[in-house]
Amino acid sequence: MNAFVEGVRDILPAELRRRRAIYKRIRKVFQNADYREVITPTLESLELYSGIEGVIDKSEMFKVVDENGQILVLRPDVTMPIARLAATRFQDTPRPLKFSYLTTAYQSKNSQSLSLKEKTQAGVELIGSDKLCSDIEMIALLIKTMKAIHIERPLIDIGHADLINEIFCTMDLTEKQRDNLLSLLSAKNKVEIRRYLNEIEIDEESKEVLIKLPTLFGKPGDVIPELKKLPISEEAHQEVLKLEELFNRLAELGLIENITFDPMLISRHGYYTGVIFKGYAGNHNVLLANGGRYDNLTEKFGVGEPAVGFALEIENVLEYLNKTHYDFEAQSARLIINYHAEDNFSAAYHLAESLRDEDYIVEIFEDKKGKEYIEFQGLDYQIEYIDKKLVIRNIKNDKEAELDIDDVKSEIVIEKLEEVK
Amino acid sequence: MDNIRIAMAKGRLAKQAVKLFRAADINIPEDMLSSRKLIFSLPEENLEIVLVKPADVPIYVEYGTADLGIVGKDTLLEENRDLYEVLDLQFGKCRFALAGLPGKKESLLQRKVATKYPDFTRRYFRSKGEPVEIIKLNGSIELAPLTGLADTILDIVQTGRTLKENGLVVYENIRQLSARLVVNKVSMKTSQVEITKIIDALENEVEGG
Repeated sequence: MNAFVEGVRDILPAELRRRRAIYKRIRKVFQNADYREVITPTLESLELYSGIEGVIDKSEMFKVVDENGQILVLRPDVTMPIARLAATRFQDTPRPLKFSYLTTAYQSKNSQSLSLKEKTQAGVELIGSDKLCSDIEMIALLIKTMKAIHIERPLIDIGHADLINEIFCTMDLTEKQRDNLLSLLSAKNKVEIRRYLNEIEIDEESKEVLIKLPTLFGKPGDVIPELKKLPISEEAHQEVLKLEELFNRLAELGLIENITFDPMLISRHGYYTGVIFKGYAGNHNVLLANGGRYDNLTEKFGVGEPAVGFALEIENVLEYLNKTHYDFEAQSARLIINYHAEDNFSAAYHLAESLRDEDYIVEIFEDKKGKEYIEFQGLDYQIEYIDKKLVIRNIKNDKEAELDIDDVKSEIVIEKLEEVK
Repeated sequence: MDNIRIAMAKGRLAKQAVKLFRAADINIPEDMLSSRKLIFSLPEENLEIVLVKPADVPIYVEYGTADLGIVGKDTLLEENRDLYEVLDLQFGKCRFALAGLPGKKESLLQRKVATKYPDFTRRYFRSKGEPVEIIKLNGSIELAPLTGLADTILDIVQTGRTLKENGLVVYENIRQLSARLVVNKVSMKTSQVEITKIIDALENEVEGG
């Protein structure tokens, strides 16, 4: 039998412990900003995800057929189910709605480096506000979350989904030409852009803009003035002014050092409508978070309303943290009690319980365990009942202490544990 | 700041890349390619160079294991990775072409196409709406029409001499190709200053020379 499935994996104790520590910190940041956690079903109807352009390709979703022949999918993202939730169950609830989630999403193909089919995402959604302050809140919250899980130098790259369309709108281009230019601009392919512009008929002013655009990215303070100098449409100019306002406000919050601006930042998710952003660590080449404004997404459910959110890619975060070796939480000492003879069992059992109450991690077993077992379990101390004595040994440094079996009390054992530390 | 790592396609392209870097005052030792080492550290330039198979360059760069890459456009089109392609280095020039035996072109019912570039070939014929059977080969593509394995080949053509010597003719020129400088999408943002410096130096040299 071949029980191996590609793209999924078991999470073993050491990693899970790390995950739990990260989850705890993320949840605390979300909760304290009043984003309440929800869990949506693993199975969703295929219809939820179809009909919206550029959400997720149908071929990339895992499909299941239920007993009525309805096609279901394993949730390929979490934003859509939360948009559904807002538009149905919370239809009449006052806005804005603030939700968070920490769950898995499934995609059969994944262009991000770790090619996992089951990915963990932690994110928030703010539904029912089109205000600039909500965009700022999202970006600030993402930076705070990243700092809380010890991502050094979090870097948020900000773009705008509509900006390029506003720039295109005064240019005389066919739809096909726009598509071609869009993919060249998002690839920052200066070479081909220049070549392509020589092939098609286009005025000099538009040419100047399109050749300049792929070189404009970086510190907002450098990019915004350059962008303003270009002969772009009035609508595009207005969007640039709005972005400038966003950057000014982020500067007021002392966050501008964490921000870069790329007017040609294009997201894989086609549902974004306004500001879009991606989160990185300053010295690491993997995308850690994704976010943006999606003002049309809930229209699908009959009620269009503005919304903004982000999601952290937990597996990518873990990969980063493995690289930086940050140790999250000191774990309590682990010890094993070997009582050897039946008549010591109840005394050993009570000792184990009272040590557990003091937050020690305690195993209890009749016979002495071999070195291999001790190493696998990562034990720190071994406590043995030998004749009328209790022998306490630090496994790491071999220091020993002992006490009379009649004196055994948890306080004294803890004292002795400190002694051999 | 970490060193910038550059992945180069082993062989002809790497040779020309070293020449270009040296011309742009980026001091890569001239004899780098004559050793069998695959990784070179250039601390005084804050660079590290890795030599990999051409088809692996886009992979190294997409995963961020290398920040920059130098690779032929043919490989980029075949691999179709998510990268920034910032510079045409103007060397390694050639073209993608369809070729086959003379006089046969019009009599084909459904083409059998032999190629080293199956993914690009699939996309190319799909965009033309022409159904074809694709046979992936790893070398000596010209043999395929001569032996009857396929009737058409899609391959890179530089001077056309190999085709001519094997009695084949070009049916159609598809597009021009050359070596490109590609950049990892995250590195471009996280090491913008260092990477822009390299791009500008190379661009100056390419455009000026």
